Amino acid sequence: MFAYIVRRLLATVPLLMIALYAVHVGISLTTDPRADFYLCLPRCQDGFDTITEAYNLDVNVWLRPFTWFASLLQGELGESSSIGEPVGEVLRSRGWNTALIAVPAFVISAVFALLLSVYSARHQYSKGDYFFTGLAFFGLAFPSFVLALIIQNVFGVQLENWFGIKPFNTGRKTGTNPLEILRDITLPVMSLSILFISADSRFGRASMLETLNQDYIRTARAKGLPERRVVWKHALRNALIPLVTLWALNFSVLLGGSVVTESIFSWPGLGPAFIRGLFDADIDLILGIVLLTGMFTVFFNLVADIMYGVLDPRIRLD
Amino acid sequence: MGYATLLTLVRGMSGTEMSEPLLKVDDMSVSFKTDAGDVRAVSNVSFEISPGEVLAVVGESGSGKSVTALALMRLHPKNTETTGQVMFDGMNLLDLPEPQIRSIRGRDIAMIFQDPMTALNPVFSVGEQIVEAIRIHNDVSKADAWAKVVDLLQLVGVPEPKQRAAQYPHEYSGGMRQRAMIAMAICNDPKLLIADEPTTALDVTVQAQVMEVLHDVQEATGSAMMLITHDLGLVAGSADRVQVMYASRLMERGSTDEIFYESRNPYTRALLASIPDLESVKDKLDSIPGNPPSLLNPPSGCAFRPRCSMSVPQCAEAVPELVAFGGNHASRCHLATEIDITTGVNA
Amino acid sequence: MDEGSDFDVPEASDRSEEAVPLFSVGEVEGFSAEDAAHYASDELEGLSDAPKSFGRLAWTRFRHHRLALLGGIGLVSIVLMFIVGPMLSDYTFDQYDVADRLLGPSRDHWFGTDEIGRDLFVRTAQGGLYSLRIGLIAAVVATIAGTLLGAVAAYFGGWTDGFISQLINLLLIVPALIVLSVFSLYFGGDANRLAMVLAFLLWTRIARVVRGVVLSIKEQEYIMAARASGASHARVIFRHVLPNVIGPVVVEVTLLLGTVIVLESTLSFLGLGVQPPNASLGTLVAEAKGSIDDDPLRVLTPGMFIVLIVLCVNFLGDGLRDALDPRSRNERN
Repeated sequence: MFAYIVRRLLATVPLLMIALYAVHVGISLTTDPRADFYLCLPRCQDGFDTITEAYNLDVNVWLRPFTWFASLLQGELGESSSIGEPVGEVLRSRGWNTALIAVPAFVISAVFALLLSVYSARHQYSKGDYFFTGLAFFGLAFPSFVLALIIQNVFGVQLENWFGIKPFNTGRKTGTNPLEILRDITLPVMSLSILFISADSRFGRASMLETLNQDYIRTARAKGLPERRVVWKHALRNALIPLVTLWALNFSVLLGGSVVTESIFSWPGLGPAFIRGLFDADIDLILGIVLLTGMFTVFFNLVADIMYGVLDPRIRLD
Repeated sequence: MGYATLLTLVRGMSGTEMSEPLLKVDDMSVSFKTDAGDVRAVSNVSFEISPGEVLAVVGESGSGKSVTALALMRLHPKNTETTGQVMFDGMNLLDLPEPQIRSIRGRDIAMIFQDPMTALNPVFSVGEQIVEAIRIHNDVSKADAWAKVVDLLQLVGVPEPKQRAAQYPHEYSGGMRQRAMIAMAICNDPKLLIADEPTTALDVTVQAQVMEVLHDVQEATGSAMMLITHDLGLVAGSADRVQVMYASRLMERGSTDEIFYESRNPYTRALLASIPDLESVKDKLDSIPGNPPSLLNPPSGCAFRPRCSMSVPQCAEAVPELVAFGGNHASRCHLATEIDITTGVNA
Repeated sequence: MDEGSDFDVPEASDRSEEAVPLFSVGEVEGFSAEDAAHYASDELEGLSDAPKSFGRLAWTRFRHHRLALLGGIGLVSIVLMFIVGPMLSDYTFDQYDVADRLLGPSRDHWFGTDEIGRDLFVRTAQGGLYSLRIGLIAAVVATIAGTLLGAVAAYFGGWTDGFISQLINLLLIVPALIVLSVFSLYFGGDANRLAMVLAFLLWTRIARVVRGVVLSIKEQEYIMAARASGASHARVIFRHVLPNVIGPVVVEVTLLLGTVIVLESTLSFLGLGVQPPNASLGTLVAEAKGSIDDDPLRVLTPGMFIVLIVLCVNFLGDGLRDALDPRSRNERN
């Protein structure tokens, strides 16, 4: 098992490096942090040189990523020019904020998607099934920004207009105590959960349906097991196997920061930092975020594969 | 001890057990609803099984034999309509409340399915699955149940049962899986075993072994057995009585000897003729021409008419009634009384 | 960082290798042929109605899929409205009149006007067509690239397969929106180039599907027979392999179209996609979002058109999947 994990991680390191290299070259080729200086050049030669040195701009574009890799090896992620803090610090503080909405959104969407999948599969073609699958279809068609804007408007503004109450915060992070945090995160978490529930419950329903149609489910029923046990023990364990991969993927996506939802709710997470870095050609910040999200993806894919092996005795990880 | 069990005991003591059927199916019909119309998979089938008796139900694919078995245990899909009566231990299984039918499933009536490769849950060990079947009906400790599992696996001929019990289905071969299924089915000493094509999915070499195991445990436990098969050859050595089904209907029933040597039904005779026979040297095997009919719009009159070599105009007009020939022997054919049973089918 | 995008979700149906017998009864609410076929497979597969051709069967199944039909009709109506509507209007796409700014819907301006008095109906129609155009180009390019690369990977195997598979993994490691953002910020703006950037990311899913299908076809005897009789690789791929993947690919394209439209509108909303003076439904939402509290309708109108289009496309894709891929009928709505 240990050897498997090491081998898997080793196999993905080169991939991650290639990805970082490509992003570095891509940004370098298309942006120039000195753009503002060219017009004033003889006068502001000093500033020009400082930036040239800071960004290693005299190094060939194709070789430039290696200086970044070199400093990465020394644990140095550089300085974010757009935020004005070390990239490591930005990733840490913003990462925590992102986790604050990512973890609840993940848990809520996983639980609801599972319950809906089981319900829909057990009552296939019932009114409830049609209702929920219809809702999921609808939810899937919503781009995240449309959904977030609607939720922000309905729960932030219209609720106040109609009832004069404002139970949730619709803007930036305000509080530090649990109740305030709950007020802050409710709407972004709601937006993200709805999107993920829609996608996952459709998938989960299909997986559950397929499992419920298997012969071993009939065997379980023929043994005289109550339906509850047939579904929640015999079917679920099998239906979970493909869902686990999906969840691992979801969690890594959520932890990487949801650009749109966080931006709309002005949530100081990784998403808005990334967008800002992109517009400001903040190459160190972008690379830092790509590194972090890439590591999340690799890690949670690995977790998914290990879970796979745990859930399904037919799969051996070695 | 439940009232029902008590009742059987009392009945058993009264000494009428051989005449008192264990299971009595009366006029049972099963239909699937589809938008192209109702598909009638079982039409007005009646039969009985006595304690300890082996009844073989024979027919081609689509004849309704498996649906009959599933309907008995109410394991058919939800949108299926079943009418008629299935009396077991003084209860009508078809309108028993769900908790009660569950306590019968696996305890009084156990089932062995066709494909052992898919009938065991891949994510639980074989032992766990049998232990579950024991403990759902009996208040025994896990350790005791596990010990019983090892005994059962030994009984059905799984080598090294202690180690094998902890293994998962994918570590078993097809034949071993079917043995495990048999062990699971007999773990609560059921009164009735339903074996749905128990050897069809297995290699030919393994089929005979599994059949032998099934036969042995049936004799050892004294349970009755309903053996569903399309293979008349399998029936000869193991069944007390046979009933032949075709296109949802019972075509003929009788003792095994009556069916094999005095069949009064053209369909049965055609089936018999298609059994490969090592003794008579023939150029080619007889097969029944054509395919089984669509259950959606079955042919008028007798369903076998289009393929029947003996059909007469009358056959298209009405579905023939079952004609009784003394004892239990009965055949559904307009010409039943006219068939010359002295002619061997292989002649 | 992409929320709700579903393009690397494993398919549940991939797990079922058993073929559900093609069953000629059709489907109904409540109890479908597939259920009947499943529960009574050995009982009913012997039904001997005249077998229908695959095409006819597919068409029958598609027609019975009411949602798919609804999706098709809905999509055609929306496109017609987008094309014909502006012809009936007195205004053009970028004609502005500051005196008429921020008007509500009226007989004159059906959807009202924006901050500099441009007619929102015409802008929505043109933006919608722009979104559809990008989506279509991206879906087609991604499909062609994905099909070819997937087929080549599976067909040749070995080193080629390893390379293409690693490329797919590479694109999976970096979250989609990051790659899209980096590239589209600098290459985007123009519809065709934006479509290429989107296609660059989205070919992977199709490639994986096609690779899977081809891997299973490859082992079949008729392919070996063709090779043995001296057919070239290209001939085998085009004559024997690709025709078999058309079904799954058609389904994927449709589902991909929905994904692309959502992604494009998201990028455009963030300011990374379509650039002014062009407009797509995403930029229209972005333009209006500042005044959402006073005038939610201006955000909702283009927003709901995205939802409607994607909904129709997904219904259509679902119907096509049911019609062309009998294995995955479980997933039908």
